[in-house]
Amino acid sequence: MFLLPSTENIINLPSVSPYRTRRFATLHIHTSMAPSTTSSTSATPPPSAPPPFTLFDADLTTAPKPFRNPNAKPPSRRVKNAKQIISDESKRLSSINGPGVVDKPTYINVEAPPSVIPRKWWCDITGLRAPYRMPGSGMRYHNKEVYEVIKQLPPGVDQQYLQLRSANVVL
Amino acid sequence: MPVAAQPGATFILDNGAYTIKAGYATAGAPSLIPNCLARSRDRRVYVGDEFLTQCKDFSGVVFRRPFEKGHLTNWESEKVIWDRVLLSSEVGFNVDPEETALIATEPVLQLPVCSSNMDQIVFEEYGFSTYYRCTTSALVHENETGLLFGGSGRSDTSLIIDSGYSATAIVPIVENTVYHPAVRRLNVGGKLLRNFLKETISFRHYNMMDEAFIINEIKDQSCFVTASFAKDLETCKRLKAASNPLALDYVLPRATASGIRQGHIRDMTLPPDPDDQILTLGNERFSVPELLFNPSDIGIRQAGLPEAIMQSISAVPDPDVRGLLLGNVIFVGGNTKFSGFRERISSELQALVPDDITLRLGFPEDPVTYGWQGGTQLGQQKSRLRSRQVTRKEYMEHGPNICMRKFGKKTVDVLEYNT
Repeated sequence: MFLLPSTENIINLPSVSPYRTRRFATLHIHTSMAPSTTSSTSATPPPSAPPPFTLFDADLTTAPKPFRNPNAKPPSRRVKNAKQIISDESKRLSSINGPGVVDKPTYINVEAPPSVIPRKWWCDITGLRAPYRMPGSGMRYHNKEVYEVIKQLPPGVDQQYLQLRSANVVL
Repeated sequence: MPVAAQPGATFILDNGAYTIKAGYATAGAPSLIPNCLARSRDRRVYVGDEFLTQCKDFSGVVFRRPFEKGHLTNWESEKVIWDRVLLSSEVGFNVDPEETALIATEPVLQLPVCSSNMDQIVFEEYGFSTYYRCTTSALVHENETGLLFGGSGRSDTSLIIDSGYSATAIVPIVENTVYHPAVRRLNVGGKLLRNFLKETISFRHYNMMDEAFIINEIKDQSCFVTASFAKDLETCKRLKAASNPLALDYVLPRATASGIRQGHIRDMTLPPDPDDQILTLGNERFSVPELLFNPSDIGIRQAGLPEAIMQSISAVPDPDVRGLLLGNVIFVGGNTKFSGFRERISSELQALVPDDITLRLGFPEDPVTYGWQGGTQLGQQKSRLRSRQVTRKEYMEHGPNICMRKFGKKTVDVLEYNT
């Protein structure tokens, strides 16, 4: 024979709207009291309407929680302060406008959009335009005279030249 | 005074960073409730108006305000204060949100996420039947502003300067709508003036860094705006305090056998009481409000109020509208209550405004509640309000974005719903 739990101390919350945030934890206090101990001199006010039979009442698996503190407040939602909100807003605006695109140039951000024209290469030795590349090391050179010089370089020096433009191989 | 709940009424809540001005549209004057949680030295927390009525000892009071830098960030505190204002029987409004239309104000240039949070709180936590959010300047515009200029009637175009606690906002309203590209915000407000006075006094006289409330009273009672700063500074430098007409003795509050004696300006005709602590104020009296006109005095890289007004005017493209705006300038907010403010701003603006434009400045009787009074005017004209407000049904259907759309801002793209 199953005994349904007592419905005396259920606190019913107001109905939840579809947009309601999960702000407050639902607080169901369930204490099973022996009926004979409730005396007429206790200060419980007479109920105005019988409490509705909720899903909680039909759930037989909930055990009584006598150690639950009825006065426990749910943990307060973390509040953002003004500095965080302002930085979030500036991030949101920059994400809407795109990383390379700005609304208008200001004195704080002078950002250029990424370039679409082909890249220019410069000779590592002379500094002139370098259409050619050394196959082994990847050094750039201007003409065949510079090529003769690069061919003669001692072993580590080509990596040192590449280090000047951060193109060296780091082991 | 307790009022019975009025279904179908409009409730106007001018949500300022310092005080909330609240009342039904049918009332003549609002209730002023401090918008803060105050903790006194004996660790008791007062909510809103409890602080003024119940707190006896104002020294060492720590304030927690929901507003930060002029944005409403902390709804934990603000909800507690709003519950007291709207729902408690001590304040006495007994608002039934389901049946009430709400007109609430927000600061100028508030971040969209803060406005959106307010919209959500109004509809989801309280459940008001209809809601309209605007700036205090928009409500000021609803008043019969012609009365300020010796005439009558309302004007379609006016320039409202709202100098409050967090900041000073310059809002041009053209043909009954706020012209957003020309809105300017100056970061000098009552809070900055109070903090500057606090630091100056702490440096020169007594350490009062914890006594924000007492310093605020000193500022209200003894500060004034000077007509010529250099001349008065010279006077204070040249003359000793005894013979200086600008110097003033302020008696700090102290505990007596019969309670706390509040701070007051010393009456020079009476002999000084040996138990009193006297604070002699010299050039602090006028150098503090001078920050409104020259914020660069303390290194704030913004223009002063007259120049900011002209910057706002020059952002309005049509020269005829500029003339109309300058002919209807209205000053509201607590900072305009300083004595000498009117003369100083008139002379400074007159110097900057072109010859052919007539400058008319309006100063309402009570600059703090003038915005709320405008709210009552709007609240009583149901037809105008109906076109602007958002009803609860619309909110439930469309979500918070409809508030952003109707109240004149771009839609907030990312909002999370927990269904």
